Amino acid sequence: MLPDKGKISASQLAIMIFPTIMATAILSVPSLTMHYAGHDMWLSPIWGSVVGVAAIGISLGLNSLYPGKTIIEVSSQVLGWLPGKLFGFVFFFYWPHLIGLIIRVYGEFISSNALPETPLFVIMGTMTAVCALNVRLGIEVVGRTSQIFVTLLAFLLCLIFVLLIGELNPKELLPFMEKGLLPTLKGAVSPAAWFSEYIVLAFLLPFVHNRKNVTPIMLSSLVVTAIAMVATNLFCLFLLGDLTDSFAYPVMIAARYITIADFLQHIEAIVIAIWIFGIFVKISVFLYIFTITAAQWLGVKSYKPLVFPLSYLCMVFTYWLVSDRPGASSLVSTSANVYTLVILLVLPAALYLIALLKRMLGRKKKRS
Amino acid sequence: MSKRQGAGGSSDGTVITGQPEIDGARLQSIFLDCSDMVFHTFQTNSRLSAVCIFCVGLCDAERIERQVLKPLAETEGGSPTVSSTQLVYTLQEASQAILDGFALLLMEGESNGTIYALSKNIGRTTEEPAAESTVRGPRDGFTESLESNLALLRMRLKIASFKSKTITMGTYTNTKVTLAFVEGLISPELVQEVERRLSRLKIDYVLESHSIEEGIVDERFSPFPQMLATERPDVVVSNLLEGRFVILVDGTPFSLVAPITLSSMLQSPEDYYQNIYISIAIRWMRYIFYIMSLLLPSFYVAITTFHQEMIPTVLLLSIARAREEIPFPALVEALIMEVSFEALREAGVRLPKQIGSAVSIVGALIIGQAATTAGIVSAPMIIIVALTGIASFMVPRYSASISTRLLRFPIMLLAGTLGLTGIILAIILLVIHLSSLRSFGTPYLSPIAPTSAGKLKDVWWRSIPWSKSR
Repeated sequence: MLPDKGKISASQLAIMIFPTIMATAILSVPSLTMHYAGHDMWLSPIWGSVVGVAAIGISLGLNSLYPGKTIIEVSSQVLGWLPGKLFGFVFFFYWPHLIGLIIRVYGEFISSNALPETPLFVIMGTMTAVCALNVRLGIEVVGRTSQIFVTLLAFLLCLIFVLLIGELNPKELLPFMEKGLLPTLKGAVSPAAWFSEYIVLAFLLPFVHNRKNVTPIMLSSLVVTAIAMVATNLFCLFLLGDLTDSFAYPVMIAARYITIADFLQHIEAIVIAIWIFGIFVKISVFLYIFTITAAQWLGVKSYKPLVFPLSYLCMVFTYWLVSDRPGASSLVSTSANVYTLVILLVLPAALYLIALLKRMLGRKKKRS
Repeated sequence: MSKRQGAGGSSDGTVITGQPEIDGARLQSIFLDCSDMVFHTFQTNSRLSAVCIFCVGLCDAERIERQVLKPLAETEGGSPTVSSTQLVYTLQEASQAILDGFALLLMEGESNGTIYALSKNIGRTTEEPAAESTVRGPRDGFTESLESNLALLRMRLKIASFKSKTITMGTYTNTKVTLAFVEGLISPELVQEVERRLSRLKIDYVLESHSIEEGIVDERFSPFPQMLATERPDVVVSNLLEGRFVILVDGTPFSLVAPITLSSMLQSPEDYYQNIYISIAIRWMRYIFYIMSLLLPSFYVAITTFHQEMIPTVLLLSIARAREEIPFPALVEALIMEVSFEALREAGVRLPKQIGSAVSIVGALIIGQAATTAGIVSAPMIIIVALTGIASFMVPRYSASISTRLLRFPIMLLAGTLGLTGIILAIILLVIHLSSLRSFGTPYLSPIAPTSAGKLKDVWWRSIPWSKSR
């Protein structure tokens, strides 16, 4: 039983995923990848997207084995009651970590770039409240709001790129493959962590009403996300060169370069403003998945009464996770990425393997 | 003809006896102290006693005399010469018919009464709607009479599948309410749903269609209109042809059209009556100004308080010079100006036309000129408020523009406390609300979200009427 009756279309789901990956990736990925891969950092997202393919494959596979069920329900069917509940608990415990971190990143980013004197609690609290409201109104509303905001976000990204074309210096690309492939593979760990967030499909696919074209739509969504990430990296590289990894938010520095006719300048505030749309969708999607996970793990019929308490819990986690800004940035670094990869990729993959084995054994038994 | 139920005054279903004296007396007791009721007792040419009862203001007395009383009284076996007649069998039906403006005739030996449609036309003739004027387009508008409004629609829809169903609503007013739609274009479930909501609605009186609107919409406590109120028959017809329904209410020129979407609230009928490029350009200008009417003062407050670096240096200097002597922060300044502008506008609407011009002079001189020279409000703020005012006049639907008038103030407060972040939060809240809103089952933001590609064309561009029918 799904705790929400609403349905979305496959393309709405694809649209929701885009900011779910990109909203925070656009801030951190350029400098994280440059740290390991140097000039060739634009290659790293391409390797990283393999993880995205895996996550999509796992989600679609689980969904075709157990149609209409989220990974939480599937886990207790595959593993049995107690191990299934344990499996669910890992996610139940992991989501507030992740959401708390995203909210914290949002809060730190806004307080350092736009509202230095506003208390962090106000910045994060208003955002969490707004997202909780969105989630409470159901998956349909989450789908529609993300449709509107993603349109704006994509438009803005393209606009920044177009306005920056004049400032670009493609020579920064050279020397190509100076130290071989290995550094780019190392650099791929952090984009891979972001691509592993495609596992949200395992939670959201049961809400899709037209299952026909899901696979091609999700793969094209992955292609679009990968291209966006490569483009972001390329632009940062062309604009800032080797300095990219010395900035916390290189894309913001890039936005500062924009000047049109000496009139339109310093438009970072607008860039931030529209970026908030993206982070709003990201927090909403994860908050929605968190409440769905909680509802199914606890066996509650409707997820709605859980939304506000759980949002508050996430709010508390933002303070439990880290105490200051360096702490927040260490949590999006490589070691944290491995943590993310284990939970979002390895665990579901293991579940999928067991489910496949069970299915094969079951068939053999039937035959004999 | 609709069923006659819920008679005014009487509650008994006593049948008509066929003796005019008794029935007349009973009706007289029902209509005791109703000075506008006429009871005319007479004898027909064939020596039968009869009584004719009607409401003097609603019926045409001269026509009753010529078409009903004269033929009966003068010629042997003569009968009234009225085209529209109907039989009633109970006193309840009879009294309700009289209240609806029919003339009732009771004859000796007939156990039924006959009602004649001889009502007097007491409404005004059709005029151009004051609230929705266009340069090019039909000049007729609805009036207070339901029959003539239906006729205006029928004039444009000469097909049998244009259906209308009438019910009466309001315990005290017994107002006729008509639900009209084009069969085959509208989904039958929608019609059923509307009928269900109308029948469920218990209401004391219906003086304007808004009281019905409030009773049947999906979300009563939303600042956004979920039904389109219009006085223009051409607007109603074009909406009927898109599979919507209309509710006409007797006694008001404003009809209700639903289900509507936000984008349809921002479209004017004139968009379809003029050159396509002009229409597209004006439509886009309207979208931009609609957003401006909502956000412009907040944007100004946010930028001058939090993000001064976004303003080009020369402009920043002139704004700073203008604001040098102003004692208030930008937020307070904006609130003062916006509130006084709203007050001026409200005063201008309610006043008689002769005094209205005086209000605008006071507004322009005192609020505009004097406030700047006295150093209470800065000149850039006056420009912003004026632009916002103009922007809100660009919205073709009054009910859509008043929702932005209201929402402007909380957004200004958010902008004054959190800057652009606050505005973005306000936009997010608005979009959440709009995404969850439905007008009779249709998502309010469709066809944008959820997307339907075919209909989206009419939002970004403008559809061409002949391309719709294959």
